[in-house]
Amino acid sequence: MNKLPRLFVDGLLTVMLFALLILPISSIGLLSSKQPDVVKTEVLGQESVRPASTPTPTAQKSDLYLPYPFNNASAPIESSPSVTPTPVVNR
Amino acid sequence: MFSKILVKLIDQAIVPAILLLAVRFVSVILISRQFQINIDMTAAGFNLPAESYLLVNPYPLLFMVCTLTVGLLYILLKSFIFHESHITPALTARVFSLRLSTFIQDSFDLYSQGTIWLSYLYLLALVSGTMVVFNLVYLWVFIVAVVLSVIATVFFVLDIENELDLRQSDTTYSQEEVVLDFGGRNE
Repeated sequence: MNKLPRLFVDGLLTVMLFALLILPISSIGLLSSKQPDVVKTEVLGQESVRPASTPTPTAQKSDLYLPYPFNNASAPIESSPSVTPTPVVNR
Repeated sequence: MFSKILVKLIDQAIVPAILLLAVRFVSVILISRQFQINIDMTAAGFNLPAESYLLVNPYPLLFMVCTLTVGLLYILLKSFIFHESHITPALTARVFSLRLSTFIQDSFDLYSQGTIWLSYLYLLALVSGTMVVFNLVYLWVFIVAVVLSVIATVFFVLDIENELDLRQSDTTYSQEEVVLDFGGRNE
């Protein structure tokens, strides 16, 4: 009969002890790094600066010009070299 | 009703917990000032620029480890020299004459203190090891924490062995005494 309250109190004390042990160690997590105020990006030699609060610009499909074969366009039609069949000689 | 050991451990854990928190806060502020880094204090904690995180983070951790080591040295000094079980009579007289009798402590007090402070040191070594894996702390901080915790553990175990030897020798002496008494009655 008397064991249950004692077990409860001991469990509570154990939890308190672990909390006390972990409390100062968890203070390490209080130090965090923040994002920089501005973000510098360099695209094709051109440097641009934007505030970090704005999202990273995503290019629209119409803004992009990609040369073939990355632009999904059909291949340019080139004149195929004329092939003249070689005559088969039966001996 | 309560477990005496658990209550004692909680009692002993309060002081180092507050001390470690204070060391952490003060050292973060001092080091950020030393490196002239702007640090923001928010409700969530300290915020500092991402590029200076690795510069600031290891040193408060090192200060915490050093604080724990100094505390453990004090406890080890008390357990090796001022331990109630094996303090010399001359030193006892001197300590009492200087009114420093609080230095003399029994095994229960000393070992509960030592257990708590060592646990903090182990936890710090574990956390610093985890942070090394994620490149948040220099490797040498982790090595210092591990080496200091190993040294403290070795000295602590040595003192416990001394204490056990003393108690064993006390027991054998009392057994001999009982045997002699028994022989005396027969005569």
